[in-house]
Amino acid sequence: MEHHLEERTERLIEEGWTEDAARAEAERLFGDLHGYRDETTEIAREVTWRRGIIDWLGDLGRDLRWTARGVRRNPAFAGTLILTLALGIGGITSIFAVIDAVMLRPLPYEEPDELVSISLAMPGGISVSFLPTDQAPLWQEGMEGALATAGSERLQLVRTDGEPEALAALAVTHDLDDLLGIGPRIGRAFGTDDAVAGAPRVALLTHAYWVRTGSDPGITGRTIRLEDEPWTVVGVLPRDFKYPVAGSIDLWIPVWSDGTAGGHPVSRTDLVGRLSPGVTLELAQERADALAASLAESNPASMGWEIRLRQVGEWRGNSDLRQALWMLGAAGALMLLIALVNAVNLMLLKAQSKARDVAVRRAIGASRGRVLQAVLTESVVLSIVAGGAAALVAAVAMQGIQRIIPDDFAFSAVYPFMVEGRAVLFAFLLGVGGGLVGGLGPALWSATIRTRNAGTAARPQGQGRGRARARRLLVVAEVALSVTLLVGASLFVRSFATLLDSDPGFDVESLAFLNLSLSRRVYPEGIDRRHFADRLVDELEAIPGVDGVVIAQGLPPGGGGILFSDALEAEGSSPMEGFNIVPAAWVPPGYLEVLGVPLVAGRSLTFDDSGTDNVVIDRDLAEALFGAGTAVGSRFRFGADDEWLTVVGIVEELKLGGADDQTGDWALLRAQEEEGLPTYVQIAIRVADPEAILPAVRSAVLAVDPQQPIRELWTAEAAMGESIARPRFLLVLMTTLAGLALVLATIGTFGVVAYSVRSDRRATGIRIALGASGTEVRRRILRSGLALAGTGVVLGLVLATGLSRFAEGLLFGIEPLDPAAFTLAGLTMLAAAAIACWIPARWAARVDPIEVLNAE
Amino acid sequence: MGGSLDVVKGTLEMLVLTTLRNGEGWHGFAILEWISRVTEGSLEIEEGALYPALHRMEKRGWITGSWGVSEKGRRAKFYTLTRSGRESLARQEENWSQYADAVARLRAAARG
Repeated sequence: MEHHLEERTERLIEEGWTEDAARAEAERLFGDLHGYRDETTEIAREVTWRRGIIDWLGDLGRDLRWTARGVRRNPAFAGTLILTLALGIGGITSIFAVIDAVMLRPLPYEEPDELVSISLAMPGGISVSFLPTDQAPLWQEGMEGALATAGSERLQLVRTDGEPEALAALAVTHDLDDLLGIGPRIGRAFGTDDAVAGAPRVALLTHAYWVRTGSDPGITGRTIRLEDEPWTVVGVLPRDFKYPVAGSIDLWIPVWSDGTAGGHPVSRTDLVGRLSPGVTLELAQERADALAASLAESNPASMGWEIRLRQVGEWRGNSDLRQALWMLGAAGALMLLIALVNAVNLMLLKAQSKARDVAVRRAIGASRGRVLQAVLTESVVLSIVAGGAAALVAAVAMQGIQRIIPDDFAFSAVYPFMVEGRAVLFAFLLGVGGGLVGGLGPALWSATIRTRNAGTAARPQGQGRGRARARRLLVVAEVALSVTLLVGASLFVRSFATLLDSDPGFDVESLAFLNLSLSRRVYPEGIDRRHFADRLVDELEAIPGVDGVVIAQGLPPGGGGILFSDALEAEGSSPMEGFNIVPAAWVPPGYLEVLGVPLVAGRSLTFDDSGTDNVVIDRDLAEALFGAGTAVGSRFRFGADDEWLTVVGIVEELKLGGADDQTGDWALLRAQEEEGLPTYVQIAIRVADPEAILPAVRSAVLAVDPQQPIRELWTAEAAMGESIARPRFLLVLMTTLAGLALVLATIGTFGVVAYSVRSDRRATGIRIALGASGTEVRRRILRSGLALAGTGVVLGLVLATGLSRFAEGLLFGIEPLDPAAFTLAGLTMLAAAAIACWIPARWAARVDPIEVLNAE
Repeated sequence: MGGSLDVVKGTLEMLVLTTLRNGEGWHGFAILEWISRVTEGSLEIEEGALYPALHRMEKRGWITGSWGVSEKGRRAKFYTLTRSGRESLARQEENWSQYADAVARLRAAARG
């Protein structure tokens, strides 16, 4: 436009106008100068923007083709890069999926922020999340207006139509589903009518149980028999819904107004609450404090109890579990970091080999930005592919994780452990992020290549020195990170070995354990259960090979119960400081013999000890209470208000609580009542080959009562194995991650050493020509490679020293700074690095000087 | 016919395209000069209106422009007709001749 005005003005001047007048006339002829200028500017802006996108897409297309060409030309590079990143990202993605299911993903309930868990803190630091059922209405009333509450309790009911099967039922207050805001997937929810004592018995099936029994779409209205009574199925719960209670649940049944679920006593209730509109957690807590005070007044036994309200989200995962998960997450992150370092290393190598290509592109006019974009596109494309592969890796890993994940993890998860949606997105984002981060360094380097280097850039001389140093540093970092992970894994290996080695204090190899839940309907009284058990014992003793059978209330792991005290007191001493937990069992005569627990001093228990204060304790507890001297005949008590217990015998250290019991692996045995038995019956069978007799035991149970389901029947080793599920889980995951890290670090070291061997061929050739022997050449390369690895190992050990305390509390029997674990980790890495250096060192020794010098 | 005709909006584009058909690299002033010379000044174009039209057509891809230096050493943008501009011009000419034809028939009929 300016050009136009100038031309016109000039014309007018030629026609005889004065300069100023000509300019004015030109503008007049032009018209609305400002309007036209704005209009054109606007159009021009749109054009530029569009063209920018089109150009960019065009460039992108070219870059993608460039990438594809590169992949075709060198599939090994692309494959290695993708595999490396896929392992790194896949590892952390599977861990992320577990962490997500356990504690990150929003709870699948309506307005989860309003939900509060209610727990009862008793004096002595014990806190429980349940109440005696008869107290639940008091609480519900007391909190009215501030908090709507609902409750649940797990029961076992035997399905009696067809093969007897023990089902896990959740007895719920009829409004629990309403409070959580979940409706059934099929059929109807429970209503107030279902909760009236004597109402027709109704049940809601969980989705899993419904699927297991054939996914009958017309299930609503069907009748199933539980404990020989008809129950009408009114609906099926949604698939993704998992109420966090221990173990899997097969069906929900409503609690009646008489405190039973269809006549089955519900002794305690887990309460969950929803804050009423406008009520804050603090306000509700004040009401709860007032309620606790008034309850203490009416019932002195509840003196000192505190009612604690917490947002439901907060209890997701107890502190142990969180620690274990975060530690695995950190291990996964280290592993990812190692994969990234390896990827950067690979990209740098690649950038170097492409240097000539890039220099040519620069020479024919590609801008620095274009080169940067091209190289970044390549790394991002590859890492997005890696992200996809990582999701697959994670899905496969999850199959394995599901198999070994401990119950307490599954218990805390409100979602199934699966790699889907969020985890896939996580992998994808890591892929893109990893590509950008990992590709940026090499890309920036490529962008600095100048035209005049076109002929020489492919050579590592000169400018290559800085890059070689960068790559060495990367190897050191990689080795250091791997050593850190290896230390972690070694700690868990050592911990697990210690755990397996630790003597549980009984003959774990020659025992089978049988656990039964007897129905109160079939066996109403303790004496009925005793008669059943006695007949069963006769059957069991008749099985060939069986050396002894004993009915106990308390077998390892877990014992019959735990006793706790914050003032454990030996007679004549002051009470012990701190809170102590003592696993206990109620045992008949013969318990020690059948389990093979050696008696150290005194005598074992007889039925004459029933109802007395006589106890047998294990050696640890005796030493803790009475010191090194003999304790037989001494007395102790759990608190000032408790009875004195007299020690009549001492046994070897017995891990009644389970193999990994760390709270104080003590044991206390009291004499069982001669007569009645509780509904939960545990039987220990002594036999040379426990695995072999399990079918015979099953037949024996059915012979006594064909309707009686078996709750657990396993060898003692398997039973104790259950208590090592978490250490085993941590062990497997940590060693897998560390193993992969080791492989990646080894490959990384190999890559750098091999590359330097190749680029130093000339120098090596000259050296050999001047008389250096193969051994000397090899030694030289080994030395420089191991110097790198050694530096990494030292750094890694230092790093591990700082980090290992995060594993404290998850380890059994060893300290976080266990010297053996550190040594093991360091030596493993050095050995792997030595192999990684040895191979290229041999190549170097075989360099033919004549060939090399001729090539120049 | 005295005076000059206002250029009907929309026909300006056709005029510009027609001009550009003569060869590559026209700057705005040259386009106007050419139109005015060929039509002997019988078409009155508000000169400034040319420029938004040029930008619009560039955006549509009918013409492409690139900066250069004019014969008098001034910086100016030079426009060239594209293939799609050529096609568009053909369509517009077709429309125009149909329109002119229709007007001619109408006048003939009115004269009776």
